[in-house]
Amino acid sequence: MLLGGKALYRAALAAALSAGVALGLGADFARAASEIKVGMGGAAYAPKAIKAKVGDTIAFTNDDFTDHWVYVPTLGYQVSRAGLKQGETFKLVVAKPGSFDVGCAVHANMWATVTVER
Amino acid sequence: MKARTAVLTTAAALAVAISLGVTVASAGPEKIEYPKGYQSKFVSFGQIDRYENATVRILYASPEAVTNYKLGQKLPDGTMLLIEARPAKKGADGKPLLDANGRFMPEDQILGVFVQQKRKGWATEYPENIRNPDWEYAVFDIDGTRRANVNTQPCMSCHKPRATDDYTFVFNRVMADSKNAADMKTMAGKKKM
Ligand code: HEC
Ligand SMILES: [Cu+2]
Repeated sequence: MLLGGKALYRAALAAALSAGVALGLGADFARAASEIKVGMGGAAYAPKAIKAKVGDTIAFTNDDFTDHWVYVPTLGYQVSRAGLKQGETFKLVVAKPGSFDVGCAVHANMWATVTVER
Repeated sequence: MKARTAVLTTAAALAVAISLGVTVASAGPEKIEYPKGYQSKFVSFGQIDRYENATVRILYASPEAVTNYKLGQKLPDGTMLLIEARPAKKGADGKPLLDANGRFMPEDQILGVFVQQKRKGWATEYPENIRNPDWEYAVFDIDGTRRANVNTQPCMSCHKPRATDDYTFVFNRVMADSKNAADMKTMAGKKKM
């Protein structure tokens, strides 16, 4: 049976829609996890407000002239990386949405916040 | 001659007594008693994943520390905070395995128990530049054996700059969140001492 008029239009529309959905989903699945770079110069995190998506990696690099110690006190996100020397990088993969504080165990005033979205 | 020996003996005994006395007075860590059964009696305030040495530190607080906690005030007298250190489970590549939330998973083995406790009048014997009023520090094996040879002064020096959080790195920050404090108070209420 040949399609004509409205029927053809509807079929074309449905095909386009499903292709669109497929593409959209595909794009979502394929979203490359990014690496977010955070510096520590002058005993201050830069940036101080860090935004990430689930699956991203936050790379804290000690680009300062003194040792640092990245630590997270927030319940559910608690981690610690002692003795981060000059030139070293601590990579943290964020797997859970929410937000948490990042401190330094050496410098009591060194803080940043990370917000993780889906 | 005899008198002289007696005097000397007395002096020696006195010296021993004094040095013993001094030792007893400065043996701060001994004031902390091992909290037997903490795993069931205490409230956990999280788990620190230590990336540099692939260990997990499970955090515990004595229940009164939680029930008597008041936002913006010093932690209650008698508060005991504890770290139970365990190795993290590792994969074939030697790297820590992660659960669905990206967290390390602790092994059954316990590497050590690190404690800080505060009581009125404690820690007065330490120099001002390291003392954490009124906190003492101690380290134990899981069977309760005290690691008597551990120098606890570095514990104080490193916790010292956290004065605004009453010398804690984690506990006060967890409790300052009203939802955490409420949840933990509920948990503490269910513990039997
Ligand atoms: C060089 C710094 C440093 C030294 C030395 C140190 N600590 Fe800590 N302590 C920390 C940090 C940072 C944390 C947060 C948890 C983590 O990162 O593992 C912490 C947490 C704790 C906690 C959990 C309660 C809280 O919120 O603070 C206890 C208990 C504790 N330490 C006891 C000790 C004892 C006992 C010693 C000595 C044997 C000691 N600490 C020495 C840095 C230090
Ligand atoms: Cu620092």
